[in-house]
Amino acid sequence: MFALEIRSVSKKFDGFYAVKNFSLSIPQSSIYGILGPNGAGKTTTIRMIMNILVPDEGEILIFNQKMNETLKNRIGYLPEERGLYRKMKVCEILSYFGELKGMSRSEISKKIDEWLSKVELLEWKNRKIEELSKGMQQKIQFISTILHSPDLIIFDEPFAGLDPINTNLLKDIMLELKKQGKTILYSTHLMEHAEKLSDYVALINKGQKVLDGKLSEIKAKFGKNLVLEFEGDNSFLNQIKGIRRIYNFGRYVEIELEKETDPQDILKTVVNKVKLTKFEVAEPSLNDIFIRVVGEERK
Amino acid sequence: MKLVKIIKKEYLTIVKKKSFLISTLITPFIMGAFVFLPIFFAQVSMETQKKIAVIDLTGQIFPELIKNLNRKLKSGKPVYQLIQVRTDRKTINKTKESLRNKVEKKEYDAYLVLPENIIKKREAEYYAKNVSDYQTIEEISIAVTDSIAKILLQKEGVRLKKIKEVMKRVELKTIKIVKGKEKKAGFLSEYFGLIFLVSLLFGLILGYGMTIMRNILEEKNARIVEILLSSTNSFELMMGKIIGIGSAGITQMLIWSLLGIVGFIYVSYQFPQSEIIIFNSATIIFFIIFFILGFFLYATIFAAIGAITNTDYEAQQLAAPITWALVIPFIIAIMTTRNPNGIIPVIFSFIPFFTPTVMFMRVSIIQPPFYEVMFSIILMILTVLLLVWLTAKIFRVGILMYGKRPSFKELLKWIKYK
Repeated sequence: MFALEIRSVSKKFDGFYAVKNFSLSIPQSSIYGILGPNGAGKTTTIRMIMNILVPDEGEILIFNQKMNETLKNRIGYLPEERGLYRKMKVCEILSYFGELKGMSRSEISKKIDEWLSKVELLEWKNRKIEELSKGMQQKIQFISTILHSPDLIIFDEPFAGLDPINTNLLKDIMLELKKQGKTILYSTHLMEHAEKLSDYVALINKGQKVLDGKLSEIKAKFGKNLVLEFEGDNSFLNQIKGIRRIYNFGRYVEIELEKETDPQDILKTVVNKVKLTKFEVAEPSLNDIFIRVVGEERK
Repeated sequence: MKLVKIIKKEYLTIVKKKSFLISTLITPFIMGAFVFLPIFFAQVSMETQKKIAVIDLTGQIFPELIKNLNRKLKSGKPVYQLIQVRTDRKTINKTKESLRNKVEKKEYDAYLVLPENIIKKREAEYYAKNVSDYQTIEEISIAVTDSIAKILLQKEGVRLKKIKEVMKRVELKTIKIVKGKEKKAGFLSEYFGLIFLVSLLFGLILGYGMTIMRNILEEKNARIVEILLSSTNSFELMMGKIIGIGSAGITQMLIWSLLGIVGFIYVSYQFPQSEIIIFNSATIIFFIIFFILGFFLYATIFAAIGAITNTDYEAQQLAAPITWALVIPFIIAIMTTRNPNGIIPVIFSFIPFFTPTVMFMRVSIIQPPFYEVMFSIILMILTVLLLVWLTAKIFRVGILMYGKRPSFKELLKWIKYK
């Protein structure tokens, strides 16, 4: 069962495709990352999921339904551009957002206390937003997104502008929510975050999906990377077979291997040529994969 | 109902503000001043004594004139202090010149020349710096005429008692007809009362309309809109704001009405004879109806402006023409009070943008035919529905747009979006 299904969705702005023929299926209780550079169409896609923008073509199903007002109560959304009412008190603003999600008053006050103490802001409950630091305001924004225990949570660029402490806090929250069986969709242009967090990823570039699937499977598909550190002449590199690409930094080299290449064979060759100080077989980073896929498309 | 939640929040945000409390309390004082000042001016006249030199070349009118110009000020002093200046045909020019200097130096307020042939030609000359003081001129003219009449009648041998009886003046009492009932009222208090109510209507519509505009701008700039849209939709958001903020306006009006009723009871108890502006219940009901309709009409426009602009400055610029539209009824206010069924007031009262003020003026002065009032109200309701529909479309796109203000062409495109 999918929590969210996007079926061949397209959106044009002034004749230009912001998103083109985009499909995605997000399994329940997973963390799904939409990755891509700025302007790739991530926000447009998310806004279409939230029904803030209406797709020109295709359809989007959330828990097998088209977006409707009751469904909104089961969704938590943190937009890329986010703010709070500066003049309102922390508890007032959280209650307002909670009420708009159809929560009861007693439930709201219980949850507010629960979350505020979790992020260590309980003593700020009756202070105005404008008195809070930026980091504190970000915490309030997280809480407002998940206060109503939504089944599907959508974060648009959640890590942008966060300090390291809040970054970790948000990661913890996301993992915790997953454990509770919630489904999380988030977008980012920072691949490192996606690497550690996501079960599934979709890479998107210029409005089109270039790759998607389970993170572990994607990585397996892209073969292994070899990292070498050595003393001596590096001319031997030309003789090695089964290599896709070499990133040469002199005495430090990163090698992308063809899928069928066995790192053992390379080790045998190299040992005879130079004095190795490091030999590591690693999975390619998402960043490498992205550059590889987009680069190949250009060719 | 999420709409109710939004209404509640917007309503409480305004009502809890200090500025709301202050304006709610201060306006009744201004309102009180509007009610009391005409009474005050009516009772404590600003009139001062006028010193007038009189050259009476007939030699017989002056004694009668003094008797006829005997109106007294509130202080008991006569309004006109008349001083006879004796002269003859030879010296008259010199005398006139010296009197002119005296008027210039403000020793006299004016001088009056009654020529020898006045009885035949009925012409006299009045020299003053201010010749537009109609009341004075009218009074002197009547007094001179009466004096001549008395002299002529005396010559004919009519008895003094008879003359007095003949010359007794008829006083016109002004009585306003309201639905067959008769009510004492003066034009002045009527006019002031009405202008006051219309200003209040104008102020409330403009003030609360602007509040909506600023509220939307604030939410746009604070980047809250998208969060709200994940819980509700743009139509509910817009209507929630309009209704919530409008309800704050109605709350303020109700508080004022209550204070007004208390004040009215107090005043009529304290000054039972004074001429107070009496707003009848129909006036108050129409006031509320036209406030609500007018508010919705202008609020939707202000909401659209808030949605398509990004700064206060930009918004004010776009809002300026709307302010003018609200001012126009004041320009034709005098015309409307003089002749509420005149062609211009009637036409304006059917243009929905002016209906709240112009039709309200007409309704409170006369009772226009029922179908006319209903027609104007239905026309307004239709316009409001059309504007709400249009604005909802513009609002939906506009609240998520930052940067350049859209052109008219782009707005049309927004309206066509599905």
